[in-house]
Amino acid sequence: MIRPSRRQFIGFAGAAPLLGFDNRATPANRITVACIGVGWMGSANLTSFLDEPDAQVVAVCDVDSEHLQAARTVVNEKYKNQDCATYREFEEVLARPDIDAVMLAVPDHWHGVLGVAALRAGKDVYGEKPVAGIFSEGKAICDAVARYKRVWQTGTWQRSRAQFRVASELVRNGRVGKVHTVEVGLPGGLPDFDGLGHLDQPVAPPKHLDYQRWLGPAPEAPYCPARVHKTWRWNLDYGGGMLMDWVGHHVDIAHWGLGFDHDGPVEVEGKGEYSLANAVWNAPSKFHVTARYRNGVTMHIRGGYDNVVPGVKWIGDGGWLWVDRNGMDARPRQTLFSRIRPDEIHLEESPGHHRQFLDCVKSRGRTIAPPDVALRSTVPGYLGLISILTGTKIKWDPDNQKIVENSPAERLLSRSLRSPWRLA
Amino acid sequence: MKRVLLLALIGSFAALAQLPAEIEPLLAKISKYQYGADPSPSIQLDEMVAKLSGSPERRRALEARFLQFVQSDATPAGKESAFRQLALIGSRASVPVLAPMLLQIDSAEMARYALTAISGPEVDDALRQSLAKAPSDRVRIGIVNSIGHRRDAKAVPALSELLSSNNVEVTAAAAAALASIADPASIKALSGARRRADTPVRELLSEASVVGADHLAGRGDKGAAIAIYKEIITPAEVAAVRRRALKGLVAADAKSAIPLLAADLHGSDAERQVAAIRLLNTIQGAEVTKTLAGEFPKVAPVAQVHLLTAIAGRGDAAARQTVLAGVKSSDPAVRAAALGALGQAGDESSVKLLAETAAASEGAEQSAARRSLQTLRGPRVDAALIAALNSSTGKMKSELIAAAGERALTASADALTKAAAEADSDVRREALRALRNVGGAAQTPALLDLLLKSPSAMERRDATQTLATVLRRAQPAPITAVISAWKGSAPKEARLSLLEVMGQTSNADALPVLRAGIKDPDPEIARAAILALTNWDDATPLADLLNVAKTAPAPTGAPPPPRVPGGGGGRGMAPPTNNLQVLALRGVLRLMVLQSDRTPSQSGQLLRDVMSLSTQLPEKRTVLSLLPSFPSKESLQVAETAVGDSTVSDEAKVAVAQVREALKLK
Repeated sequence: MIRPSRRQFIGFAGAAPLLGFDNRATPANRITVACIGVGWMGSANLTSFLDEPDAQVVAVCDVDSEHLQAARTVVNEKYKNQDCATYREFEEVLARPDIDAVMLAVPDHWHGVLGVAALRAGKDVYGEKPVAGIFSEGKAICDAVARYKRVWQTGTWQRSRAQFRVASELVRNGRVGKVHTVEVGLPGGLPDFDGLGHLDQPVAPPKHLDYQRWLGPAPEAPYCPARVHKTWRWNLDYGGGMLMDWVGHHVDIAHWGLGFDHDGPVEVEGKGEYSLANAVWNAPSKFHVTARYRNGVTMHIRGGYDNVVPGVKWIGDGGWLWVDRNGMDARPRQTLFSRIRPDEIHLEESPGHHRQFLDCVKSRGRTIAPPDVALRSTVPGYLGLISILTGTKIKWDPDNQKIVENSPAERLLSRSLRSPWRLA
Repeated sequence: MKRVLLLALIGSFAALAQLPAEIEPLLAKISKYQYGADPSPSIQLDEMVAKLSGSPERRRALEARFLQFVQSDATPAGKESAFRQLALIGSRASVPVLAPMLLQIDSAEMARYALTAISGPEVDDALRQSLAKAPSDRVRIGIVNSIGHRRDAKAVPALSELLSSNNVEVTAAAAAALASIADPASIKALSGARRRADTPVRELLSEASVVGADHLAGRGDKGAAIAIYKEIITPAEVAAVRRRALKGLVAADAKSAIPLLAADLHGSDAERQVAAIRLLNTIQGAEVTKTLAGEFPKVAPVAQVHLLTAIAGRGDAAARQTVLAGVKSSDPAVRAAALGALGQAGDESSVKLLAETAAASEGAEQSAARRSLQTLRGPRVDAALIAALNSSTGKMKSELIAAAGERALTASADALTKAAAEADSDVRREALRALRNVGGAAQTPALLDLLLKSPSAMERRDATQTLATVLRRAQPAPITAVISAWKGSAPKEARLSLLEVMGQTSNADALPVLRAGIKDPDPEIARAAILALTNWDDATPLADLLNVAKTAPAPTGAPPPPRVPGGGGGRGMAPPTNNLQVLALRGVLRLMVLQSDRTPSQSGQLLRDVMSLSTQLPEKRTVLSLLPSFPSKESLQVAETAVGDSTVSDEAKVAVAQVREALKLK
């Protein structure tokens, strides 16, 4: 008698769900999920997994015990029990053999170390975008996904929304003709989401926060409220400003439409402006990155300036098509109603970003936002930021994913990690 | 070598004179910098270095100055700026200064931060030499990690010694570094230590060995890699590590992996079977297809599901036969997988089977059959589908019609038009819906006729949508026939539908009809015309709708109930109404968000007009939510005035803050 393992049993159930009395998958049949990082975005992801009937959130982990307790309450109220385990250290979560998948919503400087550790521990990963704060760490994640044969969904969820797929499909199938220019509009500024930006002076970290763990592989720096939680992105040790926050969304869609999932720019030039709102935030608040591709396409990525139209606009010799979270538009308008025939390029339809990840956990298939594709979508952001910081134009070899002959810029593709953290 | 470096350093000091005078006042400020102080000197320094570092001479001069700085009595926070600059522009000239700093607890991290970015053997020597003298295990682990990152082969003996450290974190770091170096000596060290180790250190070392083998294979030494993989692929090894070794072996030498994977298929472990199927499927060639097909009847259903998915894309005859065998399985999950696989492995002969199954089954099997019917490829599939459509009836015909629509099969347009007039109402409905994807200008007269003669409101609705979609896709849109029909003697219900078609088409020829319609004394026609203009593709009819909003009577009586919170964000759904003034206001607000040439100030004025005409909460709230999108003095005034309106005071306060923020960003 052949007895399927737990994971194979889940895979089997994926083809023919076994439902319990409440129309949920029976407990033994659910994908067990742990959520690591349950602050802002993480709590939203947590809710999404709680809404999936074949997922069971069994643990939450955060360096801030206030986040942790709030998340635990949400999980236990949902399941009407007290079973959700809590952890401050992710290693304990990764050591649990009964956990199939982890959701990672931690600051960008943690993505590489934590992502590789989770993959190495045999977990499938739903990881927030950008793939990593630094290119080399994103590359390490891609290598680890291939090496450990795990499923990774990057949190660039726009690929799972119909309007972005339809728009990309139309462009991909030549409905605006040969594309020569792409305009990508991103938000700008350094918004003070919680109004804590003025708290930029070093103080003792609160007891509920394990601040040394929060810093992790980033250089040592004293705690202040403006440095952590919702506004860490505005410091370049932990994030990359609005450019790196959004590049994974809209440039990802721009690349999808262009068929550049496995390509990249050959030349990138960035200009930035700083607002110096406080003593901690040092990311550019306005930016204009120009990326040129080898087929002649020029992409302009702008944020923070007047008249920046949010979203992606592909401009070709037969018209243009614009898409954003609020809708689509095109000239000629008929473009919007054109159908894609079976013999044309069809992009993958996703049932929802978290849902599609769970389906892939079962089928062991490729997600709609795998890390290698997400990394290439982020490259114009990495290189644009490096260009802003070094004041140089960057030449990029998209085949080998390397900077060509620019020593200072090349060095910013990776960074030293504070001991004891490493990417292995 | 030291003499050369010294000379280079002296030369650099001499070059200090090349630096602009402004750098010294900046560095003076940075030397006193404490966390929490104004960071602008550091950012100015970044910008200055970016400008100067294009010249090799100035880069050397900057490096020399920063090396002086990190040895000065500047604050640690100030020195951090200089270490970061050295990471960017430092050279081997930095090594004599930075290397001793690796051994000081306070400076070890930032010195390593800078050193690791610099290429060259001098840095490797410095890291290696500091390994034994590291002041703590934490500093040592950092140095080991950097050595591993730099793949310094000369460090293998020192790293090998660390494999037997009492601190398992040090052992793990050393094993990872040796795996990264991946030369014969490092692999031998890992292998030896692995044989001597007990679990769990053994697992850690096995894993490192496989990673090392992966690196070896990647660098071209497949022979050495294969030897390591085979050493790891033993029944005693941890399953996950064994699987990774198998994967490596497939990549390095697929032929030698086939017998091992076939043996896993013969075993009784379903997990191994599935892993073997997936790995076998990565190997090209008929031999593997034959192996997979031969094993299909023998493996567990769970493995059969995976095998069908795998074999479907292999594209040879053996694959198709296996998929067809799966369709006849007694296991529903296997049948569903086989029907799904048929989309890839099938051809025109599969059309009938898939349509029959889609019509007769439900759940996963029906979904899989439908999906495959939509995705089947091949030069004769479309013709087979149209032939089957013409000769079938009932549910099967409906399935084939839906598939023709999903496939955007334009050759089926005539067949679908004919089906849209059949007696079977289900077939008629499917055909009308499929024509949305298939129909073109040639089908317009027939669709218009179907709309005018629709026997029920539901069919009129379908016909309206289909006609509008077909007209929108046609270029230029043949709208004349629709306008003629409007002017004719069709029943009122149909004429209302024609107005909707005109609105969805957004064709300029229809504008005069709709502009007349909004003034029609019949409120139903005026309502339909307003809704049609609301759906316009650009802001052209905005002034017409605003005029209606100014002239039509505003609603009287109790306001609608407040919106339920948590309805999905955004501006939410406004409650239904038939009041023409409210509908026109909503139309103006809808058209306002479309792209236009208006300045933010003009948009603010428009929103002020709309606000003054709004008597109900939903419209007022929508105005307030739009204001931040048009940052201007006028928008701010609208928001500030609304703060005094108790019904929307809270929303207005938020809008004031958001408009101010948007104005600040500008």
